[in-house]
Amino acid sequence: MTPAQAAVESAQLEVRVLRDAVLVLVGAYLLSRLTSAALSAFAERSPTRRITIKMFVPVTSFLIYGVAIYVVVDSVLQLTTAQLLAVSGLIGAGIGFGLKDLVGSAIGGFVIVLENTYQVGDKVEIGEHYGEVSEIGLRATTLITPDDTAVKVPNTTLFTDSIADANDGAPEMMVVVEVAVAPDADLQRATSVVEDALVTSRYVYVDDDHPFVVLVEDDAYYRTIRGKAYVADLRDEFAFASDVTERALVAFDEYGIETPTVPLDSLDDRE
Amino acid sequence: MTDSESDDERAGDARRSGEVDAATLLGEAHETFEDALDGETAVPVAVVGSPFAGREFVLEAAVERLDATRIRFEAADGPPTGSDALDAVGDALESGPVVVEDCQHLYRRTVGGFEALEEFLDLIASADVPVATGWNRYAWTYLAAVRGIDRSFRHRFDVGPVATDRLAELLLSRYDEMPTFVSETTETERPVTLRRREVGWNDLAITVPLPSVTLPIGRDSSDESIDARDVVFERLAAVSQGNLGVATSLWESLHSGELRPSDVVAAGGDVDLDRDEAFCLRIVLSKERVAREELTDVLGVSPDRILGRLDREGLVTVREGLVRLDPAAVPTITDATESRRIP
Repeated sequence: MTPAQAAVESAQLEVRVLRDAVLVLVGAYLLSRLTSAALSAFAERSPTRRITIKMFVPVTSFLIYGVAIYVVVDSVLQLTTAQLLAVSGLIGAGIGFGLKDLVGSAIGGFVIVLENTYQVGDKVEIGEHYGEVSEIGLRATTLITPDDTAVKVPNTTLFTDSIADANDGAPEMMVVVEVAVAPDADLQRATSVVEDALVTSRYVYVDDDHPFVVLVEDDAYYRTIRGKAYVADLRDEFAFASDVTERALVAFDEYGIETPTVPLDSLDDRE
Repeated sequence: MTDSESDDERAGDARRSGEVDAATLLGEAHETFEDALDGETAVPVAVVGSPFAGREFVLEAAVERLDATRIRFEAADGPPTGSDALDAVGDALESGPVVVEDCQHLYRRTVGGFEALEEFLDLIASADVPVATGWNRYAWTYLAAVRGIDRSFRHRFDVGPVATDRLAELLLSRYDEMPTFVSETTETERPVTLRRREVGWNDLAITVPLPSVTLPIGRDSSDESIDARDVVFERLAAVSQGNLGVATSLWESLHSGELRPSDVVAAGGDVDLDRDEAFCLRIVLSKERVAREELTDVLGVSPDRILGRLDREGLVTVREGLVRLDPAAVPTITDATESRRIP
């Protein structure tokens, strides 16, 4: 074999290796998407186990990508120990200089999945963002906000910010509804109205383990009646709050329960 | 007879005198039930049962045992606050034991819809005579969660499912004309067939095709007939969950001609419901009969379109302003509303 032939063969080999590596990674991506879609579709068939099944979406994605990387490094590239060390050195330098956020996010993603910090389907508040977790990726977690906006929150936020999980993996979640009444309104009647509005809602979920409660708070110019109850499906959070508020206000009107008005002196202060 | 009366008749077959007794429906709790009625201290008793399960028959036994006044709340009356119905209960309590049927009509699922219920519970709490009350199971569960009504009753008796053999005995004794029981595999029997079977864990269920091997060795036709009959009644008991009224209604629609186990299915089994339809059905399931006007109040909108669809699907019947549960559709409605976890 001439040197020219050897060079051509070597180039062909490198192209083939590169092609195989790309094929494995593309295959992993497609398999990950397919598995996620199948698990999500299966989860939607069971309202009570929806969140539990969706928990496996990021786990399977991480496993698939992990296996794909192992296959690429071990079988396709067939790196020697020296090459592996050299690549590790390059990666280390890359992390040190520019990829630390990306690697930090990937580690954050692993921690979220392993520690079960939150799951796909949970309603969470991360930093200033609130919404339903729709995807836990390698780099970021996607939240769907109440306004149907997809927000990508880097997984490193896990290490720097507090996370509030409204349902912690359960399909149901507690919703707090607040209604204000005038200081001289019939408080007993108003409390009874809010309680009835809570428990008669089509979205409510109530049993011994999911009780409801109505509390009253006094303020300078009004009193707040705060009702807390569960919805069977956390996606009904805002529909439930709206339904309860609307029916409570209609009943206030019927029973002559006054709602607060803006005090004149506070308007004067603004001027 | 109107269609709605016909529905009532079909479901009511179960409680015709002499066919089924309170002991069958209450099982081991029957003795405790009689002791509770005979007790020296008057305590309110709750008889709780699924729609058409024979709750009325247990209350009939209570009427006979106590020589009580019988009062029944009606759907069309709406919540009977200050109405003749509650006044009648008050008057009856002064003269002796009382049996009150269909107490699920004492509330309406609206703001301010529990006043009559509270008034009724106050009445029986202060009564010094025995009081037996009948409740729809789904209404009872809801009211226990949101109003704690279970604390107002020292004794609660559940109308249980009827055993398969007793169910077969009751249904077969009622008709002269018998169907021809046919095994599923008699006509098209092959040694190996693929059948879809349900594989489930908790409330998850998927159907998967599994091979089924049948070897026609050592069988004669009489064995097949007996087997087919047993399988039909086992399936009837499973579909109706041992509910006598539901099983009777299903049987009424099946009992002539050839009958295979796969013919026994609940009405409306393949219907796809949205949330409003499921919620509406839950109200009807909890009340058994509901005035259309009450549904308008509960839903907050006209229920015409929803009721039209549910009627067409054979889940309810709507006649003269009254929405009635179809007995044959109770299993479907129960599954649909329980899976959505509507209380």
